[in-house]
Amino acid sequence: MFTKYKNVLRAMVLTVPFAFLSYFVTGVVYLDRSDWKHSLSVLLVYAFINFLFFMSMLTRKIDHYRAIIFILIALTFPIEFVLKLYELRGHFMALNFSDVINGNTPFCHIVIPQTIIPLIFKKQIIFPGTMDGLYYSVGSMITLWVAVSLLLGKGWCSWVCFYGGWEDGCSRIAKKARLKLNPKLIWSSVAVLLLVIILTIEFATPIYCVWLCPFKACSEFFEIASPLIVFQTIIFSAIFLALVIILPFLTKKRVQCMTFCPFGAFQSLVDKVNPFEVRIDQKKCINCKKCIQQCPVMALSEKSIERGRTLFNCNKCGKCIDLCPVNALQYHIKLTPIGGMGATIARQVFLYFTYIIVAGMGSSFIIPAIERILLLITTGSILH
Amino acid sequence: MNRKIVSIIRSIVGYSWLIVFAVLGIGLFANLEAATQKIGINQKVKIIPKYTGGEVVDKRSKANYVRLIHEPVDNFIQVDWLAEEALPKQIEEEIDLNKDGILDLKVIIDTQDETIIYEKLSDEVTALMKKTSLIELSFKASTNNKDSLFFYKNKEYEEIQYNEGVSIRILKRSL
Amino acid sequence: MEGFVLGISGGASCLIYCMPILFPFLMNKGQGVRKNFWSLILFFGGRLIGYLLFGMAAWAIGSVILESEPQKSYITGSTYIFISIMLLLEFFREKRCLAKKVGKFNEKLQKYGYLFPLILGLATGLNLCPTFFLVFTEAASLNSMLESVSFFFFFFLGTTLYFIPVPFIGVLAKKEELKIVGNFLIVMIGVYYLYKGFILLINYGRF
Repeated sequence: MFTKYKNVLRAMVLTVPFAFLSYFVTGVVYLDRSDWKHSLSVLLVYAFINFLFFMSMLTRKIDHYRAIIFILIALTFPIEFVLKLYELRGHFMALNFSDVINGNTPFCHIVIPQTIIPLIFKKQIIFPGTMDGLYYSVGSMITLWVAVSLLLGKGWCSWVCFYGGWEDGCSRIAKKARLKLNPKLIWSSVAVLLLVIILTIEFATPIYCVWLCPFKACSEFFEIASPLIVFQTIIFSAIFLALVIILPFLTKKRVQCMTFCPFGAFQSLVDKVNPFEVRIDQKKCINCKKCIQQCPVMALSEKSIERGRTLFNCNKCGKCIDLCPVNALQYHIKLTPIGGMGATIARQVFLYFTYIIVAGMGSSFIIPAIERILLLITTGSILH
Repeated sequence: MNRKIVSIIRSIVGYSWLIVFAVLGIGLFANLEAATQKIGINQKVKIIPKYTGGEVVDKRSKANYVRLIHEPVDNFIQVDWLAEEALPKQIEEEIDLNKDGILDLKVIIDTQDETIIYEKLSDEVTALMKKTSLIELSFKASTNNKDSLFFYKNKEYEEIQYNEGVSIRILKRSL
Repeated sequence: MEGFVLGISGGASCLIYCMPILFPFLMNKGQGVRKNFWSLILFFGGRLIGYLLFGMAAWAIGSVILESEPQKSYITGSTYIFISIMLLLEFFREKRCLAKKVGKFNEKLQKYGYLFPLILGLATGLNLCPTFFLVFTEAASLNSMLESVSFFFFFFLGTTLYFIPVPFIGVLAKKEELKIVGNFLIVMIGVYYLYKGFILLINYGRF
């Protein structure tokens, strides 16, 4: 009984600093009582994110609560994104070429690896966006990417990416995997990255965006104005169905992230400079292989466990940490000793960083989505 | 003893690394717009001219609109007509694209029916670029139809907000 | 001299056009620098042969071939499809399959494997990239076949300078994991060239 109360107290004490920080990040500090829909949305999101953080501290589980907010962000992102763009541009989801010429195309993080070489050497962005002023402008997206990479590294892929929740959700539906994937497939995302970099430079067009990105299905795509665009639409729709919905359902793995996303492969490289990683305490590991079987991106293998490390594509979701029966897997700050007090500090600091960023992302998508739903209920229109 | 010292030094470096990154990361995240302005990404980095149409090299003010001619990019030249309120129903102009004193192109644009009729006045011009060519792997020429017109709302140029605009891209004669 | 200068100035774009073929090919092989060097020599040999053939063609038929849109597209489309087949065959050459017929086919591929870089180089040399048109037009206006051929030869030398760092891909690709990346990449690039080739053959005049 005393332990239970001690745990609750511990969780509350750990949640207080987060509650303070998220008060600013979610925008509670700027509440306008005259706009009750906005105020209610902000307070709901604030309470919900703090509840998730509290539960994560109480149960000492990471992945379960991470997944809830991650999936929610993925589901609410299309609502706000599509409707906001309709208000700005006057049409739903179908990007037309006038938007391209006028620079009215929002910039997403997946463009960054495609344009990284021209960005560094020629200070050019191969994307028809706007540097500033627009919803999702290039400048602010690049700054966001730098900020999150400094704090989380490849943790972007399991905490921040507003698309990843789709396949994370689909991978959790079935109780058992019906299909097994070859572990070598984790390297195909690197091949896709190299392919899109080469072709983007050759054609001065963001090739992945134009031809392959499956998430056009939940954001925007080119208006179908030619047979070629019909072909492109079929390709991305097929990839979305196969890699984001069907295969994650069958394999219980995040197939698109693992095998296809060039940003994921690129972020694995960027992760080398991030101070956080997941490490295995060899003294504790009993070689049960639960982590290898359950990792949603197949970032663990027998060889990697022998070395006490995950593979390059680990996105720090925390599932293996939760599953390990002997707490051998932990978040770790590079160069510091494994285990002990360091592991506790690493875990706590990492989770503060992730939840602050999630609170920020949540504010951008979940709050406006709830507002729009309230608007629909009260006025009959989902548009501002 | 040596091992212990090395371990301590590594820990110091590791935690310092974390602190520096935490300060930078949170600082950037908390003030995204301000940080973007301060770093000056928007001034140092540009969108490739293939999409923006290139720098404006000629601006002519007409009665209720302005005409902008961009510098040649790849094998096209973009021409914009921008109006602060509404574009006139018909725009009829003869344009010298490269300031050599020779008129290159005559256009008659119906902004309400969204059609264009054009006439090549010199060999500089080959055709107008079709809309769908912008994203395809190769350019396609267009002949006298609305597919060559790019209409849009709300464009800022020289700190003036233009409410309506239309652009065409003219394919230049290549070498 | 003019050919050499054109080669230096256009070499970067040549690299961009050839690298999608060369890079996955070398990554897929996963050889060391020395073996990569020999593969590259053979590739260049094939490319040189292609260029010299075009040098002769340039003098013989002039720019006629370039003015005809369908001809241009048919040549380029066919070479793209050929390159695609070569890349996909190279991928299968490295694999062991239990099926008898495929195994026998694989053995034949293994036997003639040393020719692959040469043939790939030849196909790349016949590839009509933008710089190539410039060179072809210049060479077509020269007075004798010898001048035309030597113009292409010096152009080839100029472009070759850009390819010097390429064998060092071998250093990267020796790692097993990166060889796996090379396997995937060669298939992707092969499919891409297949698509490109078919589009050009179907839609002549779009080039």
